[in-house]
Amino acid sequence: MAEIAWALGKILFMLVFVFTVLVVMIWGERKGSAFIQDRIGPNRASIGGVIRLGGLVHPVADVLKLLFKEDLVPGAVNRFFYTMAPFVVMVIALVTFAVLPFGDAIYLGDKVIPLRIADLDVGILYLLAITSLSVYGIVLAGWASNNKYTFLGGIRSTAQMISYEINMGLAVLALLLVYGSTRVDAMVVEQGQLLFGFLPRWGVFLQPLGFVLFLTSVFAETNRTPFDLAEGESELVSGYNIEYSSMKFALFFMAEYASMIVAAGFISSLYFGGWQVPWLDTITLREHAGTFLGVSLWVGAVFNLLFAALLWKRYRRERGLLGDRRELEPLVLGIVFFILALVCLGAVVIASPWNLGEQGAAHFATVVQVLSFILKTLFFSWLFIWVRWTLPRFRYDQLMKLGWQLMLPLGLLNFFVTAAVVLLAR
Amino acid sequence: MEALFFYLFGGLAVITALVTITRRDAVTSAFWLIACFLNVAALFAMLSAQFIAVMQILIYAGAIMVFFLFVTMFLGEPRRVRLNRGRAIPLISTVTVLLLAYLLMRITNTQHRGFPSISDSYGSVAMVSRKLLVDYVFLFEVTGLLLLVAVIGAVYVARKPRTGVGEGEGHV
Repeated sequence: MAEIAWALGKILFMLVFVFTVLVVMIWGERKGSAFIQDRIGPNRASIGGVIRLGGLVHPVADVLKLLFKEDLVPGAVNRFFYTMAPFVVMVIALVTFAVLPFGDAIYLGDKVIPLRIADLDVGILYLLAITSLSVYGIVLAGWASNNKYTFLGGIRSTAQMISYEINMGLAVLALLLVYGSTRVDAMVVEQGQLLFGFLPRWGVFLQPLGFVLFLTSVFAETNRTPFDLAEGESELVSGYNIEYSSMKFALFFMAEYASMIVAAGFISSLYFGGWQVPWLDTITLREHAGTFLGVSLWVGAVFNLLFAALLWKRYRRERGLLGDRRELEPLVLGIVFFILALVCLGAVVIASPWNLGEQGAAHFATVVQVLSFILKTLFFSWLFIWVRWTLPRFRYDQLMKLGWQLMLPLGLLNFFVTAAVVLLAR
Repeated sequence: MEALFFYLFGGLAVITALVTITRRDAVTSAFWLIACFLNVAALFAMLSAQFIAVMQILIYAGAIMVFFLFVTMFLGEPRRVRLNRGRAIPLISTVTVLLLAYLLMRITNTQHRGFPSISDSYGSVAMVSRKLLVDYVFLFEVTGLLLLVAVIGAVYVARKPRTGVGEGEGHV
């Protein structure tokens, strides 16, 4: 019974994580593109005319709008497959998370609870299997919509998937050779050691070429610019999702971001140590948990006070400029930061001996590791946005050339060199 | 519990297979075949054969069916790709039914009930790779060579003819 409760808890954590980051990513996409193109970006939606959070309210308004829109099904579509396609896309984007570890195992008394959802011996092969299915949602949508543009989007997507899946597989196989295990959690544990005594033993340092190949293939598999030929607004209107509206379209939209978040999680787990905090392994974290907690509380207090002061200054400076309730926002946020600073200070005073006990220290270490995983995932999620607004879309022949004539030979080379090195170093 | 899942996935596999062969439209058929493969993979997973289950998805449901779809969608209009059933169908189905009946008869008549049980980890990646790459490494490599020959043959057949008839058209 407890097993099932823990499994459900972990699944819930992952879902909450993905959907929270998803909202942040939609915001980041809009604000990030605005930043890169030297615009201001969305800033109008507000709660009560006061809280705007620099556009973070917009995704909420979006979801509400899409939820209440009429669900329109065009007449000429294949209804069954048309309805199924968005679900397929979303499910496949989410289930990949099952093998991703987000923290070191928790010890509760004599019970060990690993922080990943499924205990799969095949591990990383599961990732390959599921991503190989991810194209079907798009193909289904493109074909069932009975529209030439959607259909072309579907065909392009299949061609792209065939070309880049092999490269991804080759990069992953080289990783298997390096770590000697198919399990993602074992791979992350391996990355906790140090290389030459100072460098974290991260996959990116062991497999630099493999990392570049993996990253590129992941961009292709998530249909993200510069590989978003399936959408190709300038050629195909909007590609495979033209005939979709309301929540069905929202599912496609969210699935794109969900698969990006999952991909970012895998990039950080396979090549950047996952939940490992660089230079701090689980044992060190537990030993010095009290000190770390104290320092981070002090830092938190100082920074919150700083934010509060800056926002107060801004409130004083901008008062009367807009002439409505929007001026109150810096004041409200400043008060929130001030309260947070007080909470941090209070915690410092209450927990001043900073002795957490063994169990507390272990929990502290887990929280820090989960935060480390979340931070890395957020960074790579941002990378997807960053690249999208920096690089233009590939032409179809460039896509094929890159996949088959450059990446495939490089992948094979990387694989053989890795195999030789592993064999000789044994 | 296990029996429940077995009948669920087994039943779905049979149903989707039947739907696959009764559709007249090639693309629809292909989609149902993917569903069938996924159910078969679930059956493999229930037999603790995780590696084979994942390979079933990766290779059959993933790679091969993507190719199938790509080719059927690429050749001609999607709604026009009809499966040609031909006149040999009665003959083929008769032979198949007879073979199936013979097989079922042999299975029910067999003296040797049940197979020796194997350990739970038998289907794990490590065990399967040991079998393939240590115990049967020669056969494995020969199979690889065979596939390589097939690939080279396919490339040779599909190449553009240098001279002669059909120049400028090329075989796609």
